[in-house]
Amino acid sequence: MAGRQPRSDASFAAYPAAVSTADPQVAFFDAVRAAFERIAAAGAGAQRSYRVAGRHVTLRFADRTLVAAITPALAHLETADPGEASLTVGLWSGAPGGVALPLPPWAIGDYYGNGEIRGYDGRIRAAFDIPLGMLTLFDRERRLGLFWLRDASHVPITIVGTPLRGLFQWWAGDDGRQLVHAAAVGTPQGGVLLAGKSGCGKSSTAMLALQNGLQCAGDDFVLVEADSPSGPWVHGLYSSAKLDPLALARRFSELASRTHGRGRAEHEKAILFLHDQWPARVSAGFPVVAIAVPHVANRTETSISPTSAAFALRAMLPSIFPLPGARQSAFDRLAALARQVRTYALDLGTEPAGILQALHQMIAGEASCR
Amino acid sequence: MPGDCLRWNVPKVTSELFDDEVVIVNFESGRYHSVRGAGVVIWNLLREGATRAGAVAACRARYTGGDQVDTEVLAFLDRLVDEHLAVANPSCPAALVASPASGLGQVPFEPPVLTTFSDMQDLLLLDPIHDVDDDGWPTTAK
Repeated sequence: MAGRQPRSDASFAAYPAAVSTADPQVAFFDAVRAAFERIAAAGAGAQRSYRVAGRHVTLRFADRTLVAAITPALAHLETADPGEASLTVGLWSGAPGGVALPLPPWAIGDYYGNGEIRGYDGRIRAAFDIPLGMLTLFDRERRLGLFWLRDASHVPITIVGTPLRGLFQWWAGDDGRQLVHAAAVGTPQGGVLLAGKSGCGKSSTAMLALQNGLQCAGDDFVLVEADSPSGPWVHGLYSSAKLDPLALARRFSELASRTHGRGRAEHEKAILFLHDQWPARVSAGFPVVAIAVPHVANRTETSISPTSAAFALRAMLPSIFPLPGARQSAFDRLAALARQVRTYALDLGTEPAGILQALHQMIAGEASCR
Repeated sequence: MPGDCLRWNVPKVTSELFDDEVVIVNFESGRYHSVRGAGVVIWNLLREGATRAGAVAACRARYTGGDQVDTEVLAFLDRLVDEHLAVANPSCPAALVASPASGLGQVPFEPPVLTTFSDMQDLLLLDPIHDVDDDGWPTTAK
């Protein structure tokens, strides 16, 4: 692990300053960035470097209040080599030293339900989660991000499990990658994207795959790239898995003691960091050969049936609404992915052997194609 | 008649045409849709704009089914308008040439089906007014 020593460096300053502050959105970004730098100048922060989808990402924490919440799900991607950062993010919480956020320049009626701010869809992207008090900004030209949380003492488990989701989507979207709500399991030669809503069996299937030697590029959100030079590809981003209390008790009781966040709320899922449990099986990515849409069937046997690309696309579509960013591009990327790979409906039975057999069949292409 | 010529409601709406299904997303409403049956053909006709009568004529030429075709096609077009997936087009292209899609002649009519999914639409609605904290940032209502 590298970069554990607190330091205040000049990573942001190495990027060109805004050409002009005539753009009020750029001016606001720079004002927030200045607040971050004032706090970081105290030298009580930390820096971490990561390799995400083949690119260098640097997280600069102005203080240490968010380090424990943000870094565990990314720990498997941490690198000693900061490289030339393709994305640099400044993070802090509260108002250390009395340094408050600048006033928002938008109106009270400009907040969308997913946190996006009306009109911030060009160079500067902005989102504010009102219940959490969480501001996220991204300057696409300079590839700089800013992340602020009002109160670091109660970070929701969803943020711990999949931190900086909006920022990663804004950044990756400019390179043709798409964050999608899916798990990905397979081998270095190819794997299956398990796409569908919460509760459809993605995590349970991914856990079973990991327990039985398959690799996993992610359980909750992964980055997909339909047009990579190597064909459709999934990039791992988070090593976290979300498990509901029932699945933990019934099927994965041996993992329960290793989860985080249990008991926060009665039905809230717990987080398991996969690299803690299976360090060699958490994959940075592999080719996508199939998309499967799981469904929990109330029977013993598991079955797979070829389905249409349209069906697979519809299963992935809910991914693009909660995420801020250009939805037309997101739609196009997911449609392109669905068209290029085999697509299946996966009716999950209760017998683990049948689920594993179905996964191997889909990976190998042994199930009949559409 | 006003609104007689219809076209896709771009850029608020996007779609992907597959062999036997169209997936349509309305970015403004947050609703997404599946179109099947003759709806795939009709949706395709609206890409450049088509009159209601033109869409009926094209489907009449393509399908067997008689008057049922007229009724179903017109009802489907109304649903597309109701869902804001299609809008009036002020300048309709030349009348469509009504002909079967292939040299095999007419095929049995499959009524157009529009299935709507609204599970995500709340995320795109503007949030109601919230309280504001001392620094001017919104908070959930106390």
